[in-house]
Amino acid sequence: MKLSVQTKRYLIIVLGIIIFLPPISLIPSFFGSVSICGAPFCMRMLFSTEGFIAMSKVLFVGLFMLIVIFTISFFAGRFFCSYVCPIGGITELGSKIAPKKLKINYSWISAPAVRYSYLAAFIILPVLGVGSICCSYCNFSIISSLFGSVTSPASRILLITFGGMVNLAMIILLGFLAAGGRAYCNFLCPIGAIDGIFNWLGSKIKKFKRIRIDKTNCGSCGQCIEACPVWAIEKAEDNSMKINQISCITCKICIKKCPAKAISYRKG
Amino acid sequence: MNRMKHLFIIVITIVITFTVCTIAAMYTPPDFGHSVTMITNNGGISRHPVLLGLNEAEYVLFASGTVKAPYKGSVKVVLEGDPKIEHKIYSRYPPSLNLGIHKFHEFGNDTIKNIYPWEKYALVVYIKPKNKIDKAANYNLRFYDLESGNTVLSIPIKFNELDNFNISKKDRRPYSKAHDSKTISPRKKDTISINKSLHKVSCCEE
Repeated sequence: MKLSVQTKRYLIIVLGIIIFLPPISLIPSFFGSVSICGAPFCMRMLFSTEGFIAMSKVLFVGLFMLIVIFTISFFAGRFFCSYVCPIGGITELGSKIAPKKLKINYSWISAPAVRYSYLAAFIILPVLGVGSICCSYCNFSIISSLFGSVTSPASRILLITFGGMVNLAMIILLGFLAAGGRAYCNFLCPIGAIDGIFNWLGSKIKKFKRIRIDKTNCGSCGQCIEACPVWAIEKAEDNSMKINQISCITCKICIKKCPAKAISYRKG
Repeated sequence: MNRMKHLFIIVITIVITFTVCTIAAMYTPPDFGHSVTMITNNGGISRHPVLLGLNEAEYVLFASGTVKAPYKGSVKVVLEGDPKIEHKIYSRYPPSLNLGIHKFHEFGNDTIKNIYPWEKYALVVYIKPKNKIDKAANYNLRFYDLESGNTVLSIPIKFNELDNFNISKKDRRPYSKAHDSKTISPRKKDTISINKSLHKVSCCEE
């Protein structure tokens, strides 16, 4: 039986969930933690001043992971976001189950503008002493608790707070109920934001493979625009399709959707 | 014209996002506090007191941290303060399905057993007072070495009316201190007169 690219991707996401999230959380177990939240490899905390101080003793693990992720994104595309990340993956899978009637389309919002102002706030606000949005509004923390709550009372308790409820609402509205299931990733993930920059930089080098559109074959039907979970494809002024590499997560959904086979993962 | 409109929308989006983020960062939830701490031989490190609001039905305090060398031993965790409030302490470790890859410390009877240098701990304190806390009160989550009785960590918990958006910039910077700093920067707006000795985490009654 031959599995399609998307089936393989979803299977890898499920594997990522088993490896990273409680109750099994195989990888966090190596480092003596039950979840990826607050563990040495919390890569988001590294961006905020308080996180940097708190994590300084174990910084190398998070830094190593970031370097690996950004290197892959630069040379090959955002495979961490689309294939491995258990948090983005779970919301994407969850959104497949959610009824179509309830789906919210956020594509009218300029995702890069939100994403990069969020990233700026994420880094600047703690430095200015305003406060931090690092852990209080983190989908990694809430999904970890959500999974952990099946067996751990401590995780259940973390969910019942006001912050827990706000986070849960954000996960539902920007994840499970979002068209494509990736609105949270697209708007509020600081790692994804930086990853997008590396992906965009790498796409400028023609030797590196990326999702690219062959304009000669493209019929401008717009099916790829609808299929893209991160609204990375837009219609240019000349009616041709254009991939916004700063948003693209290399999920390859558009390749399958394109009736003219004009989209492929190839060198530029 | 279209280009100008597009640019205008992007600027507005950036301004709105930054404003929402700033408000979110300034907001302190009344029922939850997280303290990143460190257990040490000389009283422990907790960089700021945990601020909780009044009249909530339940509160959750999350205390996580690392054990600093050379401390090792078993630690009893006690919520101190008057009047006593109903609470329960949970450990976030070990995982539900322990694969035996890493050694996790045991937790039972409010005691973290046999912790060693550079190990981590994460406790969740669930406070559900019978009578709502309706006036300012100071509590302490104190960690005692089971053998010597010495305090190895103390986390001040302050129940008070939270004036979220009027806290001065300086007081919002508890983390700017060095990791080994034993001072805690309290919020100026706090109406409780804070005993100076409380700021030093290493202070102890014994």
